[in-house]
Amino acid sequence: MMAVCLRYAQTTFEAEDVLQEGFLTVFRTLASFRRECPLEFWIRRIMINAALRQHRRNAPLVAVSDGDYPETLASEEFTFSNYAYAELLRVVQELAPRYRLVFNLYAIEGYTHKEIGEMLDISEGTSKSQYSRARVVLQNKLTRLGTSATS
Amino acid sequence: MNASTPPKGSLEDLFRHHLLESEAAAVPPRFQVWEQLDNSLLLAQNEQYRRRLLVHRWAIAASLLLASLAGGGWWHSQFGQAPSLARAPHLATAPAGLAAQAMHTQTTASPVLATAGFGQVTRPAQHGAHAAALLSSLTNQSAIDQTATLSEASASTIMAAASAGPSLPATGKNQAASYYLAASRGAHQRSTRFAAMDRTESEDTYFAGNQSLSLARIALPAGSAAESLATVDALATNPDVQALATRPSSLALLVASLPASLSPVPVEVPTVPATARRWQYGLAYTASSFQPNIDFTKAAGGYSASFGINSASITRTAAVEYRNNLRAGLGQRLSGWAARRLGAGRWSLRTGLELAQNTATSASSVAFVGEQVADLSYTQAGAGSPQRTSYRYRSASVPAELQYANPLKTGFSLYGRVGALVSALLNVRSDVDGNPEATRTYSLVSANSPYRRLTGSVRGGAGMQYRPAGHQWALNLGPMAELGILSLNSDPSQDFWHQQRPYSFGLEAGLELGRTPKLP
Repeated sequence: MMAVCLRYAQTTFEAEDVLQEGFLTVFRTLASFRRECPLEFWIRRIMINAALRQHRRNAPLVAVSDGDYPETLASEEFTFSNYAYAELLRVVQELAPRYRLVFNLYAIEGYTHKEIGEMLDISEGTSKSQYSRARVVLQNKLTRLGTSATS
Repeated sequence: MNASTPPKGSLEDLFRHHLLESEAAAVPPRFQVWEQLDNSLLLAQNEQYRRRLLVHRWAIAASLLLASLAGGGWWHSQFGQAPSLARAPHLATAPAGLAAQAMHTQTTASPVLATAGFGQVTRPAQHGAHAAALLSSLTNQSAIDQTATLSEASASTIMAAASAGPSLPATGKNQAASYYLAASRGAHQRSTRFAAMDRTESEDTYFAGNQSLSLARIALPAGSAAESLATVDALATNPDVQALATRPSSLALLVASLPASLSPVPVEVPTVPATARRWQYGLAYTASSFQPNIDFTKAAGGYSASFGINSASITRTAAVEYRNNLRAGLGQRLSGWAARRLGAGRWSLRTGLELAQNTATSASSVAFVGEQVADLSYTQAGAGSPQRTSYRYRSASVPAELQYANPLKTGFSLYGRVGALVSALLNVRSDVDGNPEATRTYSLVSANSPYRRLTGSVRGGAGMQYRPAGHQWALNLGPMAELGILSLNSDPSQDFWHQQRPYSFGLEAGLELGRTPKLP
């Protein structure tokens, strides 16, 4: 679960705070777990919610205009073995908070933009816009990482 | 896929591959995180206990405040009132209103006496003062104190008149002065006897003597009616007349001997306006600590086994857990009532309509919602901490109570009440924290309600009543206690004498409306 928290946080300390808050919730509500899903997923969901709460407290989401975003995102292929976990984690953590949240929720957790909009209290368009911008930033950074790795 | 080809994918695939894969491998947090977590859990638990303690402290503080109010009110009622005022109205009940007439005549005669002018007559004045001193020293009864004060006033009036110069013929003045002196002496004699008599007899005598004095003062201004005064003087100093003066009828003779122009003017004794006031009405609010005290435990075979294997034993375990964790909650009651006085005393019968909402909490590891486990799927994960469940009971009641209160007394006084009430349980709701699906609601017509629809209770309370003077309302505040006659669950496994019954303790504040009753 620490790995999940690290993805949503900017620093290790922030991730530990999220982890602590998440586990407090887990212990308080464990009896209500109904085994409709594996326990790990249930706890993971609690951690994500804790991360969202933490984000709302620390950096309220600024209303960003829907803006322009490409309907079809550029699809570049990356070789998995060229990148290490630590590098990818650092790249994600360097994203702006709102980009990081949307990217994690959409690309890693698999939520739809509509669901993300409801969770973050933003419009679906804003979610899409922020995701596309996050993706551009990540793509650039990964390209630089790949280049430096090959060189 | 060729084994020699390294795996490739989109940006999303790349992150998903690495990040999710790394989650499987343990990424341990620092050791301090677990310590902090342990500490936070402890703090959360302490906070829960602190909240519970806070309720108890408020209850204790309210009880202390109430006890102080009750003690202060009692002290005020015992030692705070002047004794003379308490007995003043009693004078108005003298036989045939003679006392009132006499007092009135006496007070109105004094200014006349001053205007009549008693010139150089200083002796009667001294005697008047002496009579007042004697009267006041004879007894400490309030009525006599009051009369003594009036006598002193009369004496001072005479003293004032003495300096005003003569305006009556000497004969008339002397006659009048001697008459006044005789009347004062008569009052002395009666007052001396008065001290030795019992209360009732002495009051009659006192009023009679006072009447003689008053009649004498009526005669005093009429300097021109010297003959009449002489007659009256003779009558007043006659021992036979003095003996007769102890009876109201003899006074009538004395009055009849006066000229028509000097007959005392009848004064209406002010009467308390009649009020029909057997009924009184009011509103009351009660806040209490309510304990449903339900015991759902049954024999192992008493539970339904239709929920699956082991459901009966699981439910029994949950019922025990529920019972152990059952905690009292806030109870609130709003009532409108009407009371009818019984006879002429301070007792009254009271009834009305009450609406109550009581709460309680409990906890069980398998979400026990009142009569059974809400969902047996919880039991699969039952190893966790107990799950808190909140209960809310709404009811309507009709009470019948016997009440003791002093409806006449202004200021603080005590009241007490005891009675029984019949309640209909209108609605019961069970909420499991964090699990809205487990919410159960039972109404009065629910077929499967585990709660008794109609219950009975006994109730008692006492406290302080504050009734401001000149107003038609009163405030009540006092503790109350209520105990159920029957258990709250409809199917208790215990016999009647061993059932667990609901109870509550709290504070009741009430507003009483209606006209103040008149006690005979």
